[in-house]
Amino acid sequence: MKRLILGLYKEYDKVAFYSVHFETYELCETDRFIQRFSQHEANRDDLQIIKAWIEKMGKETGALERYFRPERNASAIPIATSGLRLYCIRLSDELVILGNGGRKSSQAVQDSPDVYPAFKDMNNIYHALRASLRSGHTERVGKKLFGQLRFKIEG
Amino acid sequence: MYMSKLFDSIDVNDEIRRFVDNSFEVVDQIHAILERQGKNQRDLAQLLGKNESEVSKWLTGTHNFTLKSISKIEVVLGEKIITTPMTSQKEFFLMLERSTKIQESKSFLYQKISLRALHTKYMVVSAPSSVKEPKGISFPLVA
Repeated sequence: MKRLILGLYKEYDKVAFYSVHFETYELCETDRFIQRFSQHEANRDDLQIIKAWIEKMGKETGALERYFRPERNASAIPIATSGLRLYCIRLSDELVILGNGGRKSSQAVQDSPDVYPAFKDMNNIYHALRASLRSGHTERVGKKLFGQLRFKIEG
Repeated sequence: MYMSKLFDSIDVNDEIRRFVDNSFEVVDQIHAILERQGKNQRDLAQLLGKNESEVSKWLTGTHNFTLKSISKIEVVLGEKIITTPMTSQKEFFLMLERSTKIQESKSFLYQKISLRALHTKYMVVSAPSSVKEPKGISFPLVA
């Protein structure tokens, strides 16, 4: 089992972005994604696109459903040119949980070893969070999550 | 206390910022057209002969649209998606011209009606008492 906590990552007028912090790592998953891909010059543009995309929604448009590509119960921010994916869970127009990602190398996510772990984690977190929201242990009020933010997922 | 420690270290240059802005504008315009036409992403995918998953990838705000793909979408939806400032300026002046012409025609018509009403009034005054004033003429027009 993997233990994690959800915490506020970045907050703007229209959207609050949370991230996932597994207790075995020093950095949260989104920062681990940035750390990993910022080491190569070739990924510079892609990381900038992801940041600009997050800021655009956060400051201007809100996290509208149409800006997210559904991948089972999670969503992805796809960078078409390079196949880079950052996985997330869109809870509403004003609340998004960002995860980790990687480079998708095949049509089916199960066949892409670089992104599959992040995809699986985000789908597992979605199920754990949904159950907690339904039972009332976690509460969503506007841009914020309250109550239970610590979870255990398979892995 | 925010979890982000590395996010602010990414410097977004103007070109990338503009690319994302433009991509969002194209996507929002396509969605507005689809909504107005009562269509959805699946309909658009069918019209384009593409998979819905491919089209959904295009509509996230990070896709690098080509002019060719934009033109294709414009053709299947029968509406323009992008307009340059020069074209919208031309369209604005054309609309202004049309509106001025309509105003001129209206005022010409107004004058004609007023003259006819005046003429009718004169006819009524000078006509024998057996001639009744025609219905539907509004005399305040004369004033």
